[in-house]
Amino acid sequence: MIEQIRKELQDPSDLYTNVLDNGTLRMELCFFPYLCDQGLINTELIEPFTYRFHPDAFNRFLVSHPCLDKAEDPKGWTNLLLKGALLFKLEGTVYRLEVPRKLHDKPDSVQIENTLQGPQSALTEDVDMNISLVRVRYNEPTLSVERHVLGEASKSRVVLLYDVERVNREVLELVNERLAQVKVNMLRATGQLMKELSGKRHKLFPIILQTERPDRIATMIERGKVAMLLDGSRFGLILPVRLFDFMHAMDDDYEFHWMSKFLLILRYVAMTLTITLPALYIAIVSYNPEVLRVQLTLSIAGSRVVVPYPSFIEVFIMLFMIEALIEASLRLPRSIGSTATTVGGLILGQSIQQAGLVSSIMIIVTSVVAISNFVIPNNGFGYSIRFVKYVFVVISIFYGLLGVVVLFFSLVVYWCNLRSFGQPYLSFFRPREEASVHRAGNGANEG
Amino acid sequence: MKKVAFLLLALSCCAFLGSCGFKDIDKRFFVVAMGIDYTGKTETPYLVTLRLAIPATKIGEGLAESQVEQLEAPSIAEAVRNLKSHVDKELDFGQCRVFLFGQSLIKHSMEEPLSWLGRRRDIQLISYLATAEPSANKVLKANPTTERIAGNAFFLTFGKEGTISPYTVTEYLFDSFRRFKEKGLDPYLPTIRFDGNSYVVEHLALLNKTKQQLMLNRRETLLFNLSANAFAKSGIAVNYEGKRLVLYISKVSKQVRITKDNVPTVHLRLKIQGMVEQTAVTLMNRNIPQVEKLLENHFNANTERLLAKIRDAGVDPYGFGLHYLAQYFGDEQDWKHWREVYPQVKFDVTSRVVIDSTGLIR
Repeated sequence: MIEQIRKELQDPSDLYTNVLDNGTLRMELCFFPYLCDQGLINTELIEPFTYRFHPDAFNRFLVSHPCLDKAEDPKGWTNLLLKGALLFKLEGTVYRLEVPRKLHDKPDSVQIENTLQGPQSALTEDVDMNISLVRVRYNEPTLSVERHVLGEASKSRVVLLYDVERVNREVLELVNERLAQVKVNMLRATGQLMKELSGKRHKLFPIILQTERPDRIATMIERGKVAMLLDGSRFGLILPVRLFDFMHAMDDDYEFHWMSKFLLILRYVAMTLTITLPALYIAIVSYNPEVLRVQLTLSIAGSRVVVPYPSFIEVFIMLFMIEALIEASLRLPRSIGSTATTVGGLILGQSIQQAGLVSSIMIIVTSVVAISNFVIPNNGFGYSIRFVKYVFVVISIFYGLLGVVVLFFSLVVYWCNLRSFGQPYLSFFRPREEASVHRAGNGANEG
Repeated sequence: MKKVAFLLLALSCCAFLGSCGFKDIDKRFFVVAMGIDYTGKTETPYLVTLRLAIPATKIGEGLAESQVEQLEAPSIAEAVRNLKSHVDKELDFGQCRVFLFGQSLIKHSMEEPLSWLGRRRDIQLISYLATAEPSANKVLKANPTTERIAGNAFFLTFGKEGTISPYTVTEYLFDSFRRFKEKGLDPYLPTIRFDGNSYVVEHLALLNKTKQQLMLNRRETLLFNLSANAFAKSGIAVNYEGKRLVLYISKVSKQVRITKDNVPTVHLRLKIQGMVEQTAVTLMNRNIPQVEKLLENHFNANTERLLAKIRDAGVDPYGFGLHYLAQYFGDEQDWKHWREVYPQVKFDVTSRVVIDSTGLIR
């Protein structure tokens, strides 16, 4: 066995092979020490092998151990080894022992979707751990866990989680159909999976929600949605989703009712601001100054007196600055990240205005746009919003205020047109099919 | 790729189309107030005065810089077009909230200025209208000492955001258009003058469909504002036991009823609520009905006198004619009849004054 495996794997240096002999039995074994849990190997195999001299006793152990199984097909040996299994040969029969090394044995802490007083545990990069995290929060016998393997080279495990009684069958069929069509070589992150499942590449907004919070996944499963976990990624996917799910922070469910409703409204206001404000600045400054009151008009005109370029160049300069700043602080190591903010935000912001390159009102506009963008709780959706504002800017250069208004209307129409796995994206209420399935599920539970 | 190229081409085409509208805010000269005077000359009958705000980076006392441009021309439109060559930036009427008409113009005719105001699309219908004494040109050239932003004193005076005075009747452009066109409703304009350091608005000019017919004095203006617009935050005064007693009015409601007699009688009923603001005599609660009666009689007599005066001038700023037509499904016959009998129309003012408190706590 050992020779065959060594040959198939091109004689790797990190493969451990040995022949053990406890006096009565002789065992050939091989495994990758760095893929396997060495402690488990000791307690589960080596110790019994060393102390149970009687072959019958050792055979009983082989039959009864839950992680042990026969591996009779020689073709599958290398795959098993690479997945973290240990192979051993005893009296002509090859057995496998599943002892994969677990890198994560406790839940991660939230890093992106912070809450103040909600649960602080997040998904890990280990899919089994993640399933248990969801199971703990959604403890229903109807929770179904479906396994798929995707990616030709990576062979990543993808797990589908849903409540059998609440899930929308149409959505589930569509997901399975799309999963079957996925053709990727390396599946490294859920973002990749999200792109593959979304269908068209040119969608402006995400139709799958990416989250790191097991409590969000549990809540969504309870609402009849499908969750998806990928081995090696600390994010889960939820589908189908509506626009309003992206604007929902988990804090809204946990905090004081009126304040959370107020914050929800604030988030929508911030979203509108961050989309339209740079465009509105161009429209008002260059096309329709009569919209503002005369006092503000004159002070804007006063602050723009020194600026030599038309308003849209000013907007592009500042938007470029702020995007570069965000990108830089994202890529920089955390220890020098604050330098970028200080240099960019404070020094540049002030001196760019003193130098007369942009007006002071534009600085305010830029900061409002940047801050409002960070208010959006979902990162993927925030990216989309960040992009859409440029479309508004371009349109406002040519059409002014009217263009902004018409484009905003078009944006709403686009949202209405979008479908997330067959479900309308901008429905204020839960789609009817989903709701009816929901009700039927509840009825079945009671009966 | 082709699609993107097409999109870019389409957008660049639009750039040429839209370029006439694109003008940065600092390349515009904002007209904050405009004045029109009648010169009486046959060649150049109109004197147009524009007050232009100069944008300043600092705002403070006496820093409200503005530039006044004036030009005489055969018409207002020509004057404005010609004035463009007197300044270095594009004139913008988008922020012009005040239009002043000189005394000479309002006594001549308002037809041409209204025609110009109605046709220009960049003139806001929420602008304030007023007549200027002695001329719009003089008032616009004056510099109020407390003005921080050019033209702001006008906006604060006429709008309700600054001072709220019972003598200042606000007249908007949209309302004027209606009053100049509507049957049985006549326009009015407040009169503004400059007293050396600030603007004074306390008289009201009443117009028929073309020009001024009557100028109300200060006392009449207050009474008109109270009875026609139900303007609260006002006051009425009466002599009580030989001393002056002033009632502050906090709430007014008005009701008009017109009888369908051959010569109609206009019943104007007002309910006035308020409190005593000043009195030299000790006023006890038991005296209140007596004071109320006194105020009512005084107010009724004064208002009836004012209504008769307005009627005799041949104008109808209250809109009694419109009310008459509305009440009796007025057709052309009714309107003709009303116009014939309007000079004889009788007025009957009944008011109810309610004094909420004597203003003191005992």
